[in-house]
Amino acid sequence: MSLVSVKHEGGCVFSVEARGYRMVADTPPGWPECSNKGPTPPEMLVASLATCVGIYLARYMREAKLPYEGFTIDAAYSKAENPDRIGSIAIDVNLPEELPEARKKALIRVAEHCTVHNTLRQPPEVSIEIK
Amino acid sequence: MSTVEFKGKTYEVDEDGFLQEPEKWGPEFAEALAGSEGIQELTEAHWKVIRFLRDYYQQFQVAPMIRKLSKETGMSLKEIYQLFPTGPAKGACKLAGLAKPTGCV
Repeated sequence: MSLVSVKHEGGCVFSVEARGYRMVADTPPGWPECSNKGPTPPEMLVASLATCVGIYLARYMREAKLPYEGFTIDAAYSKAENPDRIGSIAIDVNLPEELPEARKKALIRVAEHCTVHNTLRQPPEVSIEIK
Repeated sequence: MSTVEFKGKTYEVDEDGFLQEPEKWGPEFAEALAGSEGIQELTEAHWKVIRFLRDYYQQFQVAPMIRKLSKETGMSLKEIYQLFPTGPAKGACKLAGLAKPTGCV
């Protein structure tokens, strides 16, 4: 597992680096010091779940010889309060061809076993120290 | 606090355009704010979402989860975001006269 490094770039902009790959997180218009240079942290979290689901599904569908080339995933979330958090996440997996219901159920089971989904189901211990 | 005027009516809204006096909501309020949410014209599909949001909110005093909205309207997530480019929480809830969703970005 690699180290994920985050650097404050001014305002609400943060650069993220993992294994040499770089991303940027920011806040949307309407937020103080916003410059809208990248997705928000909650959007990144939801994207993490959606891509993890995608990786698991692609692998499964390839092995099961199901049509999956070009499949897409849409994800959206609702907020909750006390404390502020993501209260619900909805994911639509859009397949290139219609599949029987039994196959769809199998795909949902596969998706629900991806690492990020498991992590949300069983939250990790998180420790924060100030250095 | 600011005001929105449309077709002879005045609405008090907060800094993000959310209606402050829910009892004053009418379809014309949604029409007044549609443009600012990136919507050129409110279609029957928009009204289907707005009606469901209002009915749900009146029943439970909270906005529905996105999956509930998707299931009950029969629309995919993509279709909902195509109708309301700023999203169901900010766009659709605002037009429906619901309270502003709070919390982190």
